[in-house]
Amino acid sequence: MGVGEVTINALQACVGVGAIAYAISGVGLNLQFGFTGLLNLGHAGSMMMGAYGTAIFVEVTGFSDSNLWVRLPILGAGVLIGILAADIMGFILGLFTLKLRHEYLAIITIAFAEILRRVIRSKWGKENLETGGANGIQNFAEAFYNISPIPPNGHYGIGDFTFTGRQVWLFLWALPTLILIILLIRTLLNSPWGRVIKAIREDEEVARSLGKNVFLYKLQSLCIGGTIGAIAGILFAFERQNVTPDDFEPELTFYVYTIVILGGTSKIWGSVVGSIVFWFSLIWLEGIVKLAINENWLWVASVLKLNNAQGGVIRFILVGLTLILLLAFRPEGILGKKEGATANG
Amino acid sequence: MFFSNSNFSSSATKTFLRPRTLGVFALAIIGIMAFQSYVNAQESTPENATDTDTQTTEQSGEAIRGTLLDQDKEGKRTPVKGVSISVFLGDTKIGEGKSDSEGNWRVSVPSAGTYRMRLDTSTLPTGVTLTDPKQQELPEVEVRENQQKRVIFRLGEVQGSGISRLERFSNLFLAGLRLGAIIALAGVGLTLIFSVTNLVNFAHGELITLGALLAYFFSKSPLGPEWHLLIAVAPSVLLVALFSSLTEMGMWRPLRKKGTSDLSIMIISIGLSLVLRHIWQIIFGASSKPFRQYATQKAFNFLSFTTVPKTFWIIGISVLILVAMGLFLLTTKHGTSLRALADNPTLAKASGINTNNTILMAWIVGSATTALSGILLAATPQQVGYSMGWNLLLSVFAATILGGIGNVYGAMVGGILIGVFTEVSTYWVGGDLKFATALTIMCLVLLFRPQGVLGWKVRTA
Repeated sequence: MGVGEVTINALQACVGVGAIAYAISGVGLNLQFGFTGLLNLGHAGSMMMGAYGTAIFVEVTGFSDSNLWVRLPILGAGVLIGILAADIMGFILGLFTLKLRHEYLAIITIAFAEILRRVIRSKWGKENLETGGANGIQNFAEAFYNISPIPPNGHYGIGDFTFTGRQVWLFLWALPTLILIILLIRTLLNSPWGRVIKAIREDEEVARSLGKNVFLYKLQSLCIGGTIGAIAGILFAFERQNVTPDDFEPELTFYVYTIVILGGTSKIWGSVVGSIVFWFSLIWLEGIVKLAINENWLWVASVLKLNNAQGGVIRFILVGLTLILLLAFRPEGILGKKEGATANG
Repeated sequence: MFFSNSNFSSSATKTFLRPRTLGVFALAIIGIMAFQSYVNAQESTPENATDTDTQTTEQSGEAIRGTLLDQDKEGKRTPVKGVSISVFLGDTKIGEGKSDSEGNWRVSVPSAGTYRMRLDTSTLPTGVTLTDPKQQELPEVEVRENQQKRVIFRLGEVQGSGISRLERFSNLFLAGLRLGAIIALAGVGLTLIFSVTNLVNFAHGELITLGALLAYFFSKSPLGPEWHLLIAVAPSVLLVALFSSLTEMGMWRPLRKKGTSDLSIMIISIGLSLVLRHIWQIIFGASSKPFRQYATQKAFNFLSFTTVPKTFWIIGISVLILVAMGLFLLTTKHGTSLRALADNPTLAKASGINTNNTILMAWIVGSATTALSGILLAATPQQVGYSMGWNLLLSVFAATILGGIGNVYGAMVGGILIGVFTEVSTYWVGGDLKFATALTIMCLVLLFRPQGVLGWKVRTA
């Protein structure tokens, strides 16, 4: 493995379905955090509800059916159920937390997502909710890939920069989804509803004094953001054909925050830019660190006694450092302008 | 008492060297270590008596085999000889085996299939009985092709089997108190720092871990001085206090000065938590390790409790430190300035309180109790691990929320409540759901009593 290969890996990661899923998730979070000013740390929970809602529905109803034309509508219905589940979660969460100050909101949302995750992971969840426990659910979206017109085993791309037929097929769905969501959210934010949302972020009292039901608007923002998060979670699950509870640990939320802040809070395209930059830098730096360890550049492996597993941990340190440095020195992110920075809101 | 020294901030080191302080810490450490054995009994899943595990060997032909061991109250196992075990297919007896002097028995079966098995209890030596009399007959034992199926008949006492409901509940309650005391110590630190800085510190868990890691370094690591754990506590706590003073002076203070919002600072602490936790992981490794001292202690009975001495020591030390903390806040000048700054920053400044020094003191005192909570936690079966603090963090948050964030006494009560809820809930729900249960209770309390159990502060937006 050389620097070239690391770079190609990083390029593939930053335009792949994974990066698109993170970008979509970021759009949802940006609506809550950037535009409404809600510090929702339970975003991974919405993504989990989407992914698990779909997977459990498919597993319980039509998993073993051999007829594609039965399985496909079931998968479609599963997607809707997943989104609905995330909506219900957002609604309940909103009722619990929206009247609280932001530090309470942050803690309750992260706790709520953890409660759900632990229930899904538990023996009880496995037995009563068909969640599959810690092992999760696999291969529930096979019907989606069965209707793919692209030969699944081919490789498409230039040189080493290639994707499999399955990845291309999912990509063809993911990209329009992302663009559609962004256009919808942009329309929404330019509407009177969007202006109220931003007013709430800037000064809640002003919005209230104008007769706006602040609670209701916040609740709507939380639910819409959660819906988008669920779509991202479903995409995520489709990509891997595998959902496990450990994919949805709080770290996932922190990744999405990093992407949103990196791209620019309250910039609609911020999450897209953020996701591309985030995944390229992350995978590239991680690859370089692992390369340095494997080939013992500057004696990192022998002097620091690092091994490859520890190299993998570097990813989290990089994300953490990015968050710290961004908020300390450039809270407006890549797309934001100094005066437009709302992370300080 | 440790924190009631009124010159605390200016003479932290001297304070630590005073005999009384050393005494407190000596107690702390003695208490740290006592209950591996108890918890092992608590946490090992009681195995089903019919528990069968499968194993394929090179030996050809299907067979059912096993080893008969009689277990006494202390868990010691002795082989049982001469017990007859029969295998039936339907009503036809197809084979019989007798256990040899090592307790091993083996019955060959003609082919793969489902068999019925029976242990002839009349051949058991006197005084030896089946743990569960129902296991005398196993209606369905499945053997696959070429499988040497292992079947376990459990004999004698099973750990935990003789425990009554009351005893089980009491032990859970005690474990809850122990966890609660630890959470309360960490929660007091968190909430004290919050009360003067408004920082909800997501990196607080990493301070808990750091305390335990340092104690591990000083007492067990081959790279360290290998002191006794009791001696290792003082430098560990001091170093954690020093570490947080450095983060306060090098990071949080400049950020506040810059006017960074509370929201941004909170996210920065999330980033810091990610960075620190994984640095700990690189340094310490991913697996958990126990301390050298007090890791295992002999269990004893006390009223309806069965536990090891260190449980009581952990609770005792925590309570002592919590009381000392209360006295420090109520009776000393530094405590008063802390409370003043928490209540009304503007007024506190106007009356001549040095804000920066007071905040620094909150960091020192708060991270010291937090580090101690980490050492105590690592003395429980939790052991020392790179993410032990992070795993506890939500419980600590829950405790402070229950008590009202910023309310030190509330955090004490909240910590005990959350700890007890967490452990006692396993009386009804599975152990993998105990944290979820505690967090749910926090959410419910907040729904009906948003100011917390002890809270009176307005906290709605």
